[in-house]
Amino acid sequence: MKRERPSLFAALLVSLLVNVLLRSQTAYWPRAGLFSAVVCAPLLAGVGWLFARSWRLAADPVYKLLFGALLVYTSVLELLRLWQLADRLYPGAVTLTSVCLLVVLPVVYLRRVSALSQTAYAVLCLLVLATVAMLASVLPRLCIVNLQTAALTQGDFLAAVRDQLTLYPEYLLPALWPEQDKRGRHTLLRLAAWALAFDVGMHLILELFYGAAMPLRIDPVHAAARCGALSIFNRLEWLQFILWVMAVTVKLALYLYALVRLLGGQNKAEDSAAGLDRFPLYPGGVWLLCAVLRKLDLDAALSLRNVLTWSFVGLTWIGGAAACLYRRLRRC
Amino acid sequence: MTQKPLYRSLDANLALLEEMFGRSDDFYTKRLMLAGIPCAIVMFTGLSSPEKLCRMALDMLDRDPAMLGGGEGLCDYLLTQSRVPAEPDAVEDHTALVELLSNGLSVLLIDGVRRGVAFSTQEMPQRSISTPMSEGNLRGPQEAFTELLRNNISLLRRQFRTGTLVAEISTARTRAKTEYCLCYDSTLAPKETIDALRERLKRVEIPVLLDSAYFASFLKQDKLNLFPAAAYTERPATACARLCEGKAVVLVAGCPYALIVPSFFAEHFECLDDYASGAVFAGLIRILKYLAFLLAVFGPGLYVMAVAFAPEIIPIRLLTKLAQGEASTPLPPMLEMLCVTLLLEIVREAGLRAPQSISHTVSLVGALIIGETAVSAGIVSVPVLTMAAAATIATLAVPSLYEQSILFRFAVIVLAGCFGVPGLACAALTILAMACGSEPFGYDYLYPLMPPGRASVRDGFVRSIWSRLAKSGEVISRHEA
Repeated sequence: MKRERPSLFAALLVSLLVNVLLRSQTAYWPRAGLFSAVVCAPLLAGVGWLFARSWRLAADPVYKLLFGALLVYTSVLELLRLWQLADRLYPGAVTLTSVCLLVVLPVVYLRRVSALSQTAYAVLCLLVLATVAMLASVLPRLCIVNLQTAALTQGDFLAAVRDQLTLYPEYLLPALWPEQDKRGRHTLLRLAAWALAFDVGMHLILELFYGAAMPLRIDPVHAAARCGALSIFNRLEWLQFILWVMAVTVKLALYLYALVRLLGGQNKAEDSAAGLDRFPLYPGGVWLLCAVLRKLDLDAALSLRNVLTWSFVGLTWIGGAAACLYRRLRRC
Repeated sequence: MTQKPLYRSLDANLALLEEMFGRSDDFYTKRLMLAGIPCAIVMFTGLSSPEKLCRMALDMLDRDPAMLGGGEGLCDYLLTQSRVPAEPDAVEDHTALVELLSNGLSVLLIDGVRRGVAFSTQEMPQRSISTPMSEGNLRGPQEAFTELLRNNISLLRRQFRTGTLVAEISTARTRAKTEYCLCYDSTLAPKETIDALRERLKRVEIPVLLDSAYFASFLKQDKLNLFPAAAYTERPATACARLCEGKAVVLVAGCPYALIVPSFFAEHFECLDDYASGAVFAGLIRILKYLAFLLAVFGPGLYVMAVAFAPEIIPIRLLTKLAQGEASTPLPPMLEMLCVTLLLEIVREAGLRAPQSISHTVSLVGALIIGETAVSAGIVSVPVLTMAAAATIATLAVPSLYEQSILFRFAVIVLAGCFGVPGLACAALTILAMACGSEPFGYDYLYPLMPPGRASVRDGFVRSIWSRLAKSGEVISRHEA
């Protein structure tokens, strides 16, 4: 019951799972995804591990600024994605400013890593419960006959691999945590395995639900949840949406923590909170960027984010390798 | 006041006291001769009894043989040899003298001696021990703390009959020099927690300390967090149970409520009856309390959100009823709910603060105005009134979280009413983050509820049977590495 060394695994996992839930369209058939996940999970974990090793050697202010910019850009995309979804579901009810305000407001209480860790655990539990409730509520509509029997092509596998190899910043964040070696073994592997398993599982449910029409549906998870009824509630998509908003908030709080660690606002104590005096800079900056980029094509921007993340990882590897080589040469 | 030592001269000491308390009519001083040495008795008549002093000390001194050694000899004799039950430590400075007099002791000042001898002759008016007023329980001990610190300590010690119970009395840094007592079990309570608590209490500096709750704000880590940093009880039995869990109890003089530190969220849903009744029934009641808390906080907000933003989630027959109710009222659902909830709070506050003879009238008139007139006039719809009343009643199921329930409820109504589903999500996560972020003395505030585990069903959401609970009592220091 004493809080010691709070783990951010749940926060990382929630941040990854919400990517699956907020997806506007499905990307691959689950059969292809199942096979590719076996390869992609260790690959993603390996990329994260190598990045962490390189980061220790190569991290200098330029890299830190680049990483910070990547996190801010991802925060903006997440907010825009949530806003667009909210606008599709409840047209005219929420503006971009109100979405920014509502998502960022609880971050005030998530500035301390122990609070973030505990809240992420709670949100993860609620997310799992809500997903189970959604499953239970749509169970009669899940039909085995909806499973596609057509032979998979190479294109299907490639689509699955391409989607699963989307490199989210969450795989890179553990490199920033203090005493990362003591965080438990195979953290990144567990993270990738859970995230991809959830992704494939969700695709399977959607295939059982929609059948051949799965790739055509916009906001497929939300649309499926809309059909579920439980007790006095006709539909349960609002419950799902509440949890998605929570998960996005946890994600932004995680990014804030990472930004504070990156850009030097954090003192040596791991659990010290980001100061409230610096705090308005983050939501203010993110809101401003959201306002500027509000008409952005999100799908293209998310693809660009993936390219940028891979490029940044590549750059860090090169920097790490160069730093390692330089040290060895100096020793010689 | 500076730590000025007592004067050697009796007259000088008395002159100083006269200067300080001379204008107070309850200040009592009497010169007398003991074994031929000039002495004086000083006390406050309302706090201390001259008869008791006479019976306890002076009669006995008259019978004692004459002492050699003058004033110093008399002082030493009284402190170390005499059968007279004097306090073991001599009074040596003016600050201690004033404190002892204010505590109801009588002090014997001796001419030619820089020390005084104190006698416990307190006889102050006090409220007798009664049944708890705000913690209703059907079973278990029915006595409550009173305003007198020593009585409260004795009530606690009577329940907790081991040599490990420590009661450290200190004086707070207040203008009135109020005393408080830090109680803990020296073997069960974690030392670092007790040390930290002792240090924080020592640092507290406030003009007046009338309630143990004044300390709570100083013990909070995050001042923006609305969840309480400590729990309160007026039952010695509850305080004793917390001591057995390794927690600390702070008693403040003049306050019949004990402060319990650290306090966890789940404790607000526990009561003595839980452990006196069967496990199944207790578990059911506890789950009902959690649901009541959720209803109290989210019920009205959820209603406003559903009616204003997401009517599609409500079954059609229920929606028809709600729409009929809402159609006849002029205000939008959020304002309507806010008004009714505010009015209910005003009625409650008025009923609480009004003199007891008219408080029932206030409640009755409030209920009549809101319940009957407002509905029949079409100002408020019946569904809104029903939901607000249900939430208010649900709040009382967890009285120790009353303040939080009300504040959260208003926030949820406003956010859900303005922004719909995202607003409700924001409110829910803010509350969750507050609960998760609360960290009393480094402990998880949500323990044993989060993270979910065996402890959550052992004595968390529900409670296990006694034979299992008894196997390993819950002690906060046990889980520390």
